[in-house]
Amino acid sequence: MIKFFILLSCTLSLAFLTTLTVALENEKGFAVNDLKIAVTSDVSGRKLYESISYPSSIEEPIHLAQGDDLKMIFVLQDKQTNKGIQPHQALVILTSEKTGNQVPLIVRVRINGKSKFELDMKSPPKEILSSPGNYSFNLVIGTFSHNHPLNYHIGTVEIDLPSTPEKTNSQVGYGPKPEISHIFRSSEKLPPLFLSYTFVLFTLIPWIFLIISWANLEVNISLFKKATVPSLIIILLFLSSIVAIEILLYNYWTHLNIFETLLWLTGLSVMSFITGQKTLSNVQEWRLSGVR
Amino acid sequence: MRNLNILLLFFLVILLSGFHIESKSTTGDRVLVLLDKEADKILYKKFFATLEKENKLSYKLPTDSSLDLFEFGERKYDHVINFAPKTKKYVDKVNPLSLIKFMNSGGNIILATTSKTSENIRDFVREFDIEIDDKDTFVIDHFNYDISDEGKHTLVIIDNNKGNSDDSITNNPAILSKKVIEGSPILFRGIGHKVGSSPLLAKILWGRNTSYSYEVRGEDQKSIVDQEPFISGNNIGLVTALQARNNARITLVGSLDFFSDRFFDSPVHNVITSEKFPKSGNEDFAIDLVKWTFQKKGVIKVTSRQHHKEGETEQLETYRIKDNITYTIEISEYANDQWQAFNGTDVQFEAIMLDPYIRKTLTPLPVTSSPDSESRKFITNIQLPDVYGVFTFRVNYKRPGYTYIDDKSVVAIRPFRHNEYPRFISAAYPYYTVTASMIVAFLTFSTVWIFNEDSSIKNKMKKTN
Repeated sequence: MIKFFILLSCTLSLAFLTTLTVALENEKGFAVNDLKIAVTSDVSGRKLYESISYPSSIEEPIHLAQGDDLKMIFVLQDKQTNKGIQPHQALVILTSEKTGNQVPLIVRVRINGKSKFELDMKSPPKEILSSPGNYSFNLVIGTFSHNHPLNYHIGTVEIDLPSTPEKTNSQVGYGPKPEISHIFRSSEKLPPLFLSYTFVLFTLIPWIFLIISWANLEVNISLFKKATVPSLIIILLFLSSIVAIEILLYNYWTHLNIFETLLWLTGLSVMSFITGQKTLSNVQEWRLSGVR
Repeated sequence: MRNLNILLLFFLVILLSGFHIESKSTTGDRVLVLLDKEADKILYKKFFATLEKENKLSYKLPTDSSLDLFEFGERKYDHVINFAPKTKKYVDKVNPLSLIKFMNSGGNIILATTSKTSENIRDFVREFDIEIDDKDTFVIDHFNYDISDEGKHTLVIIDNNKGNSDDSITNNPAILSKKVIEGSPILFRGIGHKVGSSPLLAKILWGRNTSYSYEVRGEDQKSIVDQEPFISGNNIGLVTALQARNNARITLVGSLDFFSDRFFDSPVHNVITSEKFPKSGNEDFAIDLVKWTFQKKGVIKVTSRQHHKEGETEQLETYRIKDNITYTIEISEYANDQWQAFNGTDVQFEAIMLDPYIRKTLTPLPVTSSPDSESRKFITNIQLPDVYGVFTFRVNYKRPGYTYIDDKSVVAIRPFRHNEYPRFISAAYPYYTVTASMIVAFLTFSTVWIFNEDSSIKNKMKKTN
């Protein structure tokens, strides 16, 4: 146990010492010099030629279409010795501004520091092919021996390719889904209300004829005054029972069911039968007595 | 005497088991720890000490022939911590297939890998749509490495969440607590992995934009990156979790050192930016990872559901088309070692007959009844579609980090009955009028017929008399 700790502390201190010495030794950086970018097109020849120096970047988006070829050359030099260096990490990273997806691409660095990068749109990486658009164009260089790595934003490339959408990815991430509201079937189209009311008026026309003809025939209800009180009560009961049956049938139409209706109807029909018979007897009496 | 001893022991066991404190996990507290070497245990002393407070740990080597995950067909352990990525040959009882079976029966796994990860483990994680980078590769970042790094720039620092687009840590509150998300940076040394597109996977920690995964060959480091790295930048998975459809959880941590006492206690000093922190965030992060993986957080359940016509309270089995109904579901979340009200706001209701006809986000109700209420009600009012048939009312809540809810209740939706159609439609006004005028005419005629005094008849009768 103790042995282990001694060993551990030894390695730790050793590691610390080495890093310390490395840190002291390596207060040095490297520089990117003579950076040139060219875009050539197989249709119109050279589209762009630009020479920039760190840390400035190209303002205008670099337009890349089908058949274009982007080339970038630069020299990597140690700041102190001015000798070329060959870093472990020399990558161009294209980051999609739409999805945030990163595409790493290799920069070829020779031992003398001369570096070359090429992005040929004849055979672009499939990630780019699947989602064209704007990509930020960064040069990332990192070494083990220099303590100032470089993340150089050179500009933006605008990739203008016919989008070849990847096979639709059926697996979507979990998350809230769009809301769906049911679209109800539209109710049946009805004729305009005006037409309905017009025909309502038409149906009421027979009343006019009825009233005129009754007036001509001198229709009257003068027997109402001549009837005796008991017979009048019976007659009124009979008439009101008919009215009640009509009201019951209206309720049947709107909300009652057949059984409730039949129950009511039984009572009312018995009443109307009895009072109706009495009424008819009255009428007959009147006829026999010669009042009608 | 001996018998007496055994008897005493027996009673003691019964007594102790009576006092046994119930596990705080929603699944259990039996943990199997797999180590490459027995001696490795000492490297993760702090981590295991934290775990032992709430769990029963058994330490085993994956080559131990007595090892078995199951006993009489039942899980023998609730969780597995696999800290043995280097062991090439596991005994059959813990090989990838058995571990998958273990997960299928609801067990949870924490798996840590290193650059020397064996093919065995690689096979296992391929089952989850995760591909670990080649052997001997490391996650390298020349921009964010700790001062105690040994010149290989593999001891990378992952900053806390700053709310930027280039954050490398999830801000999912179901998995990580606020303290960790906003806490100290995290130290990582190990291997990266590529995370597939399965929705069951949740990235927890991933590479910084400038990092890449590559070999660091030899001491002179003369090798250079001469082909595109398998993964780089934010495509590198460092810590990734998967929650299977049965809610079993697995967390893959790319760095075994991540859990070591050394990393837990280490200060953080970024060489490039010179940012300093007295202590790394590893310990808090590891505790959260364990809590999540062992189902002590991010666990939700439905406690009740109800549907009824608006303005009524009785739950019916049959509704009519176009009925207005109220749907309520109560959801509870396990957090801080107790069930409490769930705070989600995106719970959705669906009315489905083959396809969803209606999908609506439920409104969470404030918990008013009592402060320590164990659940929250989510409510909505909907009008049922004008299509009849057997519908399923479904709350299918699947969010990264939370256990899945898929609550279904089946109801029948019937069409209008003959007497439920509208009684008065404008097109039929003439018909109603005709009927009404018929009735009035009949009543008038009856009255007139009864009371009419016909003068002509009277005259005629007088004449005949």
